[in-house]
Amino acid sequence: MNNNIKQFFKKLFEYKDSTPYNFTLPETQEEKSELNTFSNFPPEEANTPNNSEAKEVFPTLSVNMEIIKSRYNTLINSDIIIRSFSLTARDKEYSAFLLYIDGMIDATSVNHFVLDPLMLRNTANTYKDSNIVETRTAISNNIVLKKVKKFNLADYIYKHLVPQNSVKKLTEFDEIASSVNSGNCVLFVDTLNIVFDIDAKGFKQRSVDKPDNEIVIRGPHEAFVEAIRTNTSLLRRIVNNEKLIIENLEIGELSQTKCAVCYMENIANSDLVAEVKYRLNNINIDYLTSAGQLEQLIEDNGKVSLPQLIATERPDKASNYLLEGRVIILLNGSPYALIAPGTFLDFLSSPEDYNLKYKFSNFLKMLRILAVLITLLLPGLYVAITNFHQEFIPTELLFSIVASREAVPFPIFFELLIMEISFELIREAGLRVPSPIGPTIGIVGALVLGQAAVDASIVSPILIIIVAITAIASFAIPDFSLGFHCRIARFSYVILGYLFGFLGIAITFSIHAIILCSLKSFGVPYLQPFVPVTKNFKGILLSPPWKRENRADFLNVKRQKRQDNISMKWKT
Amino acid sequence: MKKIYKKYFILFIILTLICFNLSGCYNINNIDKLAYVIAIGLDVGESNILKLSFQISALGNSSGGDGPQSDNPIVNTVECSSIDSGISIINSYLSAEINLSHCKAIVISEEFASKPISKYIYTLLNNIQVRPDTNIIITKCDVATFFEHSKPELESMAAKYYETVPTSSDYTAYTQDIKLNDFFSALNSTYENPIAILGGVNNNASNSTNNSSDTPNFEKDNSSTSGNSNIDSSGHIETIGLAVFKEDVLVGELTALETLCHLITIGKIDRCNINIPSPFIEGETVTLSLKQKHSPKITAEFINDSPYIRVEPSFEARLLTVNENETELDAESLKQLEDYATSYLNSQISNYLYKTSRTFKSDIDGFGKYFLKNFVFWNDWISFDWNSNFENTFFKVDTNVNVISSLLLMQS
Amino acid sequence: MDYYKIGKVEAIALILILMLNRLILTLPKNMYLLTGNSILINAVWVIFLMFLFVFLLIKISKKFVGQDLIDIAEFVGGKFLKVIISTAYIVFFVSISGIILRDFVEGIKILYYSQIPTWLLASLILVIPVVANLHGGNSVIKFNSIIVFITLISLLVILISSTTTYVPQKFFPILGNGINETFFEGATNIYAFSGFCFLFFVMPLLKSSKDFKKIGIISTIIGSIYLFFTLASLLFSFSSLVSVYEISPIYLIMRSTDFGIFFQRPDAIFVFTWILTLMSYLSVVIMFTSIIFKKITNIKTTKYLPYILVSLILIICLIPSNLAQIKTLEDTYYRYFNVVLVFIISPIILVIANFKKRKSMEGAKIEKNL
Repeated sequence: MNNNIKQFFKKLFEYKDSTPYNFTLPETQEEKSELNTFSNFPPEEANTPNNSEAKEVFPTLSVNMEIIKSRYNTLINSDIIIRSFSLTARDKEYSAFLLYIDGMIDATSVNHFVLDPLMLRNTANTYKDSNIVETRTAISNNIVLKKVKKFNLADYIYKHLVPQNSVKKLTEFDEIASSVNSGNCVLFVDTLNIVFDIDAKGFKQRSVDKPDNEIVIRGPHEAFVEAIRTNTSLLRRIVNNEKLIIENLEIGELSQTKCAVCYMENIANSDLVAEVKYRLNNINIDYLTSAGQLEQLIEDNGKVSLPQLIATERPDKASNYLLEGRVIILLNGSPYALIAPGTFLDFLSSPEDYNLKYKFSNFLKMLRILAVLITLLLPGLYVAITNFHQEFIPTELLFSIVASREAVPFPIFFELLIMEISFELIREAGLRVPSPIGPTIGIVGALVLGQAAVDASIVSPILIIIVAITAIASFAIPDFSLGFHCRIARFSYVILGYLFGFLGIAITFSIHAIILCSLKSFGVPYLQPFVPVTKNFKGILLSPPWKRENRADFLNVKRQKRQDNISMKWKT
Repeated sequence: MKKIYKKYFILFIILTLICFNLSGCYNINNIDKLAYVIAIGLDVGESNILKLSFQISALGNSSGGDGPQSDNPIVNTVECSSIDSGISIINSYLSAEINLSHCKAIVISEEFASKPISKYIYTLLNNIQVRPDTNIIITKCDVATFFEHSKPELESMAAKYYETVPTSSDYTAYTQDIKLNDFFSALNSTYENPIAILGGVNNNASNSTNNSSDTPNFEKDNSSTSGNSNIDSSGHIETIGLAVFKEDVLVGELTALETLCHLITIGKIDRCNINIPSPFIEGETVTLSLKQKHSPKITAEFINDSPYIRVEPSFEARLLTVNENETELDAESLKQLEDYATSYLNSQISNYLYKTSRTFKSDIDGFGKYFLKNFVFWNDWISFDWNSNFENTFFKVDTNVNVISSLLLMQS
Repeated sequence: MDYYKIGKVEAIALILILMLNRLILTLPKNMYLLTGNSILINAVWVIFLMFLFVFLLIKISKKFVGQDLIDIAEFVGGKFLKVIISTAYIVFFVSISGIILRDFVEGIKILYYSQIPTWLLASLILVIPVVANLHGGNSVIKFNSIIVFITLISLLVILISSTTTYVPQKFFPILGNGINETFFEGATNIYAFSGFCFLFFVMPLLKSSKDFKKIGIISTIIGSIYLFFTLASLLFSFSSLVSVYEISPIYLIMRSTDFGIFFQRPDAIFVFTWILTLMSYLSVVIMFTSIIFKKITNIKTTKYLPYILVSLILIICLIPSNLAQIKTLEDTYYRYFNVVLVFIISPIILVIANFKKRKSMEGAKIEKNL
């Protein structure tokens, strides 16, 4: 027992040598040598030259296997599967292996249509005929000449033994890696210096569902998904024309993300298509994962926060634009399609515009333009008028504003900034709140906070109205990017309105207008069709469907006429 | 690249600081720190040339969404030598700065207006804040009494009360909505003289007469002006009649009926009621509701070097007084009514016109502009001097009244 | 800066901008003070003279397709005349802009911004032309089209709402201040159309030179209509007040017109549109000045020219020390300089160029026949 007590006290006052866990990533190579970093990993080994050198497939299976094993690090990588087996062809056995990534292939398809016909003996692979196949016989001077064709194993396997719908022959390891990474399985056969790239994709993906952000009442309810082939199939079904060209590109050194450029060959302007492809092909980045990132890399002017490409998740909207003569860019892994070019008016249109009667669409469009103006101008105008131009307000309204502001200690400018920033915080917080209490936060934030702020005399009631109307108007803007841009721009209106009244508003408005005027999206002036005014100037409003005879002027399309002068022939 | 961004950033900060400092935005009087004047009063001062009064809206404390209820305007008066020095003195007294952007009425006492007031009108219009559509009222009592009694009866806000007072001219024709701009324009004009709204405080004492009469005394109705109207109420302000100026000096006033004639002449009547002696029953009166068909046709010419003006107003009338003993309203009785109305209006308008010409010697109807076409050069017109020639003018009035019917009842 | 070719609407907007600016400022007042009640007859006379001028210009420009006044001056008198005319126009544009800017800044300072120093107000307004010209001539032209459209609508609203206060008898006495003032001295009132000097410079910018005729005629018609109706409003509603009011007559019209109980004083909105108009005008003037400057000096890029021009305009703007000096400058210097330069010297050059070209064409024909 004494020992125990001794031990206890010893432990209590013992010096404990502790070095804190200090792991830092050095920024540069010099720092690295200076720092005494605590690293869990041994220093990197230099790359072995073998892997980078091998470009083309070797006829020997074992060499290919080694190259694949080192390239894919199969000792460590758990989901790269190499299935070795014996392939039977013409009753002879060849060694072979199948390379694929677990979870990306459809196992049933591979079993039934690749391994089964190749491994198991059946009539196809045991059929033995002579090695020599006569192709031509010529008789002259009593001498028979025969032209023979030697047996080609690759051809034989390709044509007879692999009953899979999409099989390609590849020779380079880069292409092989790209194929396997996208979900195919690759067949290596001994003595052959080509491999077979078999499409047996079976990875789990999201099914075609309703669009989350662009909801319409009377239109179709399909949306793009992450897989590029599904998206292109959606487009094909709607457009239903063989002139729809879908070209494939790969972007990103490491990620090799698949990208599709879609356009109508007999409508879209060739220069526009060439420009789009030129920009996409000349992006030198390591990886690309989202359409938003791609948009920022190919747009004309990245400094301005205005959107210059239309982003949509609806295939019907994309097809409409496609048939107008624009170019669609699809990216694998992103459910948003990018449409080039995009003008200011496009961001004010909703996909519902074509489905409703044109009068309703025009009314809604006017409402949206009003929403843009309110979002930008209302807080700035309020600050400018109350500070500099009080005579503008009618007397009764002015007295009610003054009476309600009696107990508020802040000047109008700070009050406005406080409320605006609180609303932005509520909006941002609402995105991250777990869903059971999500709606509650909205109600709490808006109602209770606003009311409590008024009761505590921090803000005046009229300011709550103004901020609330501005927020609602910013939600009414159909395009998310444009709405965001307006939300940011209105702060400059507020600040300059506070400083210089209507002169400040005029300055901000002019600068805004000048930037809009100077902006171009893929060669098209941003403010089409307002300025410059062209021949087929239709204006903001949608004309009735029977009057939409020509396609838009600014796209300079190959097929100008959309419909006849009298499109409703049944009436005449 | 980084260096350039740094430079731009520093430049931006410097510019922002300059702008914030120089714009004086934090010094600006925003709407909280202003005292809103509803009405300005100009009166004769005891110790100085001008006694300036301000009726200021004192907005009560409101909680939540009550609004400025129970608006009790406060009145501040100062003796000063000019309007702007008076404003400065009041500013040093009040806790907020005077702001005239929402001033609804400029009230000038009769006594003050008997001396030239053009200097004050010009000063008021030179002020950026004063709106040109402020009403201008000449009071028969002094300004302090007027403000004391100008409490709204049917409205809650005093400012709104002032807005509605002159618009009664739309449906009564006993006053006219005269704005500062109209006054100023007429003051500067070579063919017109200014008028202003006549205001006063309702004096109940004038009603306490012992004799009541059986016959209606429509002369009493017609000759009412502000201050001696026959309204029996709780002593609020009233605006009946007009004040007549020659150049910028007050020379007289128009009664209710004379105001009606004035509005007929300038073609600004919307609808009004007149009393005429009844053609059917002796000693009785009949009330007609008049609506002017179009502006009166005015011809102006020189006859024997004297100006001769012919005024031809035309009306549509409806009979308002209906009696059960009267005969049926057929074409003949309507014609009788029309004749009576015509002759009545002719005589009243003619009396009024001669009064302006001979008594006031002030062309408040703007007849001068009808003579402009007789001159080729502007200098000729100036040397003609219409103002001194107006007193030699002859008038002829030819009214045309068309009585259509009565309203709901036909006489039996 | 390369300019894309502009269409009819934008060209018309370019030409109208200066005239609209002047209409908003003190042009109607100066015209009225000269002629008195006969202002409308004078306006008709001036419009007639203007149409003659425009027809002459269209006829001569048919021979000089794609060339502006500077090129024609070079054709007539060589480099010497080219430099003189260019310098005259540059001095004209810069000085006029400075005067107009100062006039306007004084106006808004009286109305709303008494606490902000004049130089700051002027600098703020001058920021926009710099920004616009840095973005290129195309932005200037497009921005201008938007602003002209807004201004035309706001002026139309003011003019239509002022028709309620018309007193038609004010048209008499017909000849106002006299025949001399109406027709002879009054002919100098053609400086109201001084903005049409841009017609000389707009030819190279056009998409197709056939548009030039339409542009000239349509812009003259629109300008004449607005000038006529502004003067009519002034005459019929407020003639007696014109000599008394300092700030622009359009402001007087707007202030005195009744827009209804709710919008009791919508001045601020209209002043907002006028600020935009002034900014757009300054941008256009700097653009044209840069074009002219580039022609005579052959500099590679005009990127930094807006800064210099704006500084010059600011200096000129701050020179006059009170409003009276500005009024005299406008009335005498601007009027006579403009009339002499735009309506006398330039047409003479065009006529001489026409004769010279005809001679050379005839000479070429004779040679061909030989």
